[in-house]
Amino acid sequence: MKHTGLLILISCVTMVARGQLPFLDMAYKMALDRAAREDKLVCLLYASADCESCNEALYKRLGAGRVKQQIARSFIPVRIGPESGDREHIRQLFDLKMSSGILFVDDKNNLIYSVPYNIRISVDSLLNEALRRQRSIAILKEKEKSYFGQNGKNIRDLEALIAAKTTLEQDTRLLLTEYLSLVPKDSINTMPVLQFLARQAPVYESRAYVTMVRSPLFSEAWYSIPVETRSRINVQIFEKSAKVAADTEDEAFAGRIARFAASTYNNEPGRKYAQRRVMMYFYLRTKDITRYLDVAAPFYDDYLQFVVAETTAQPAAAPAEDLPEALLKMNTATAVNTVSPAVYARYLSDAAVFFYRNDSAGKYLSNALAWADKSVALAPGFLNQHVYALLLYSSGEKERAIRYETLAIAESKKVKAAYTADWPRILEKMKKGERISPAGGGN
Amino acid sequence: MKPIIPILLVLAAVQFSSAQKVEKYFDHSWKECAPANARYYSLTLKTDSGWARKDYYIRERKRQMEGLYADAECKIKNGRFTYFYPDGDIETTGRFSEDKREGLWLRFAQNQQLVDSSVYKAGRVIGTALKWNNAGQLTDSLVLNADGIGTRLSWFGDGTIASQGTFSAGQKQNGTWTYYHRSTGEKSSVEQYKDGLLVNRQYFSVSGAPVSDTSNTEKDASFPGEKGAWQTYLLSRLTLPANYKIENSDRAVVVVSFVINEEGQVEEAFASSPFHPAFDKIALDIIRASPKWNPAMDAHNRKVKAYRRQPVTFVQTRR
Repeated sequence: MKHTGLLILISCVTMVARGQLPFLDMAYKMALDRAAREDKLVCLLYASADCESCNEALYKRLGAGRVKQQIARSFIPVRIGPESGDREHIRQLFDLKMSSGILFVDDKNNLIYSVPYNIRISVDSLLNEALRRQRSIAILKEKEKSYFGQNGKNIRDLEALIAAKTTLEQDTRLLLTEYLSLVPKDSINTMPVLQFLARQAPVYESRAYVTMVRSPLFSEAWYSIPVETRSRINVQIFEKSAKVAADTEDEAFAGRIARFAASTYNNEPGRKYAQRRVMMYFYLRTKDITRYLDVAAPFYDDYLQFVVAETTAQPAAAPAEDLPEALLKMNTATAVNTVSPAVYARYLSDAAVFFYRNDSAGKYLSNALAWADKSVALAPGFLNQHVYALLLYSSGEKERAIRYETLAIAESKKVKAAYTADWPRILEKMKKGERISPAGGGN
Repeated sequence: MKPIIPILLVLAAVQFSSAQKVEKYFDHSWKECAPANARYYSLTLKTDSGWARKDYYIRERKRQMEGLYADAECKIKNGRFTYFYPDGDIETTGRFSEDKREGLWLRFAQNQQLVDSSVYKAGRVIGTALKWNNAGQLTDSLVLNADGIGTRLSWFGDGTIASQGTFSAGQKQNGTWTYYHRSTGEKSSVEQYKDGLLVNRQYFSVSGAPVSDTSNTEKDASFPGEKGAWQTYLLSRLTLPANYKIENSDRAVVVVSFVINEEGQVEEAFASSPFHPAFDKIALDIIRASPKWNPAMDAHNRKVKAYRRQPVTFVQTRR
């Protein structure tokens, strides 16, 4: 890891050249420190790994005069490219489903706002929205303070304040406790109060949570909420709660949250998924990478199985008999998977590269190799090929590694992706049989 | 899609009919419907031996049934009939004569385990009829002579006896019939019959103690709560699978068959009319995770399994 530090120090002072982009190739941790010092949001440009032309188009918009000035003035702008060592960490931390986008994060590592690349919104509006949310959060903090300082307490004002904080995904524990002390006792066990509490996604085991679930009316109130909303609330509860567990480094609490998360699924794969997601988040946030890898390896193994099932086309069986023409011509309802194989491939490749960098003992090398292998099979893009080549090389498959790295370099030249500049040197090392450092050279 | 709908509706109203050929479309409940909503396609052709009908699972493009009718309306079955599962495996096969079962009839579970083997004469069982469960364990043995005189013995899946009794001519219950609780093996009811008529019965509790109330205990399995609670349960949990959309229709139906066992738990759930693995899984998971039901009771004072077939409809709304 020492090598990484050195490389990052060198690169962090290098302004990304593309279109005079104000974004820095800075370590995420350093960006958070700077955000705390300067009281700004970190603006993360989570660049596309697959679409260099998409990146270029966005760089152009972000590097234009006024926008560029505003970014430099109001944010700590950091580019998280496909080569970034922080990429997988950030994806995991914020459970990002998008393959590229812009994220705004506060100095406490809380995601304030995020949008994918393809959203139809002007850069101005995007920056203004992030700043508006930042201001709103500050205002709500002040309101919370003044609320507790005032004499005449109004339950409606309190509800509005809590709902506003929930919308901005802010901590509402104190306010919800206050709410419970203000609500008349005979009103707590009513549908409106229980549903209000549920919609605030109270932290697991908090007073609000316990009061809510212990109510004899809870089940009725809960199942009256639409299923999509309930699913979202459940996710919010375990995300919020896991954050609390991580902030207090309470592993036992994280374990209980994980079990709760599992209980919100009605099938075994779902239960495992939810339980592992919570623990992965906890270990990542508490920087216990060894434990993280132990949980993440089976998580991605299962994901690989899922991807195999989703992407393996069932061979069309030849009809056993002559079928009527009318039947053959009928257009029947058909289920269509809306996820491109490239998305699955990226997810697997990102996981593989994270393990490549962090699993120094190679405990899960064969697992990561299997993920990378599938990613290349699904979407043989140059980045996936590069990751695969690195893992093949680490696994001792030198010839195949050279073949894939050569392919990756050739493909990357077509799109002129700048972060591939170091790849020929890696290829030379492979040919000479030299050691490649996962931390530095294996970008 | 919009221009297609009126055309399909028009098509639905037309029953393709000629002297030689009839085409029809049916939904998952076998109600005739428009082709757009159809689960089954039916083609009947006039042949020298009668009206040969073949029904098809539209999505799987596989046969659901083939059989021979005596009439164009397909009311009188007269010839060999074979029913198939959606994967093409045989479910039931046998012969009808003038709409009555005749000869050997065989039924197979979806795992292709033989679950019923019976011989019929003019619609009545004759000889030895045997039934097995999906695991191949014998559950029922009926032996009748040509007059319908004989015995019936049935077992639970674990091999313990479930009921026994005899028939007089015309396959009428006669003499003492004894039924047993599955959970304890104790008698649940001892009933006296005279040529099909119940003349006396004595009920026993699960622990074997006599019960004074001998009114009919028969009761269907029910989902706890008010009327409609089961539908509410299903609806409150149903979501479209992430990452999937439905094309060529705004809805998809998965039919789940399941058993409510003597404890009220759902078991043996499977997609008897599947749509797509992602959709089938959601429907199955919801039904498998169902709260306990109130189990069914038969007329012999014991809890029994109940069988259900639940269509689950996924509706895709455009936003």
